[in-house]
Amino acid sequence: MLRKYSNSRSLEDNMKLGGLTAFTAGMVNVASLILFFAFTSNITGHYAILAEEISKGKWFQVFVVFGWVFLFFSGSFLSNYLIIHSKKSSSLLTHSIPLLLEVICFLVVGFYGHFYYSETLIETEALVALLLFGMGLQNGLTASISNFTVKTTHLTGLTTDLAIHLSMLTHKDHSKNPVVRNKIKLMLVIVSCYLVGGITAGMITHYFQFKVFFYISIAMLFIIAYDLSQLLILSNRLRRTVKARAERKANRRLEEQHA
Amino acid sequence: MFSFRRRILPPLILFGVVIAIGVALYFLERPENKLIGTWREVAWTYEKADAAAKSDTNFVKLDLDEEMKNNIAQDLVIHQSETWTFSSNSALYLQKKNDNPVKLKWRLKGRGHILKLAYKDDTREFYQLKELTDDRMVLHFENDLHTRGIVKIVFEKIRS
Repeated sequence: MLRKYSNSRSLEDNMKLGGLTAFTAGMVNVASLILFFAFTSNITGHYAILAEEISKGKWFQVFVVFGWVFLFFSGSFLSNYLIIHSKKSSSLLTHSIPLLLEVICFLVVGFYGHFYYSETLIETEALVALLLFGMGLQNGLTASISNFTVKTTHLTGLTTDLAIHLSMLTHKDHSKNPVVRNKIKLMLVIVSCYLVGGITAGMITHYFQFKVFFYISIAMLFIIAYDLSQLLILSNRLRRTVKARAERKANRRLEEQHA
Repeated sequence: MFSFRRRILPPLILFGVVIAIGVALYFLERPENKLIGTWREVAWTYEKADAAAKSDTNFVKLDLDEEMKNNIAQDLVIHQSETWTFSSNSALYLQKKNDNPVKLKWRLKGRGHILKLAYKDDTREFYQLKELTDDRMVLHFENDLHTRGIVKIVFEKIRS
């Protein structure tokens, strides 16, 4: 899911990455709405609120919302910054760093929320800020490594793209175009997973409260673990192939010597 | 120099902006501080959403009398109150004339736009803090007792 970059990614890679990260994004958004009364993956809404607060002259709220939007921006910036300034040879490691930072954000929110949160406004603002930074990291990572194909928290744009692509199916020139059909499949997976994640969080957050973020962290770590396991399988296969080739060569040499 | 400008300066700028936002928030007056003090209810208004949906005019506004107010708020903690005293230790005292005050816990959520009230038995109520100035506060809550609509409670500060 994370190893491949840009155009070398298959539809399956993007569907796995998009589906899993959209699921966690949906969970984080609904969990934060229930626990903090603030969205954490809905930046369009925050821009609207920012404009409203500016027009009302509520400067404290203006800085809070601007800070949240800026932290989402910083997360996305940092994600791509880490990817483009890293060595190309260790893509799994490089692509895992934003994801690990995101997991750290979730663990901090879960740990602090579970043990220390006394519901003061400053705590709420800081924890929401951390979640927005984490969501920015995730969105930046998925968009960057998939050549802007996968955007897991960008549902406004996704819904628009889905509608456009579905309308393209009504035209004979595009109705059988595999690129259009694959894009629709990917977008449907992302939208469905986001929705399922949101519903899951809606059902379990009232019961588990801040522990939800521990489960989200486990889901994120699964992405890295999956890629690591694939890498191990690949390296084992490669080792076996090299070994078999070496054995074949040695056998041939022996046969030649006998002959 | 080129590497510093391209690679190190941008993250430093981001970090600097985050710090600047934090400093600005430190110096601005927090909504919790504005809330602390004693507030007296001065008006209850019911804004019918359904009526607005039927016509193009704005929400239909009704000033509520005591009976209607009691009817709407009978299941809410706030029906027992006329003055609300918010203290800095998150305690809220609701008081009606000639009655003992009822103690609740208050907290602001979101960006300071949601007022959460928690009763002793952990019953929770949420109100939208629509307006908060030094001497006026407006709370909104949704109600569907008669028709779908929003109840607006207006307060004035009588003691800081």
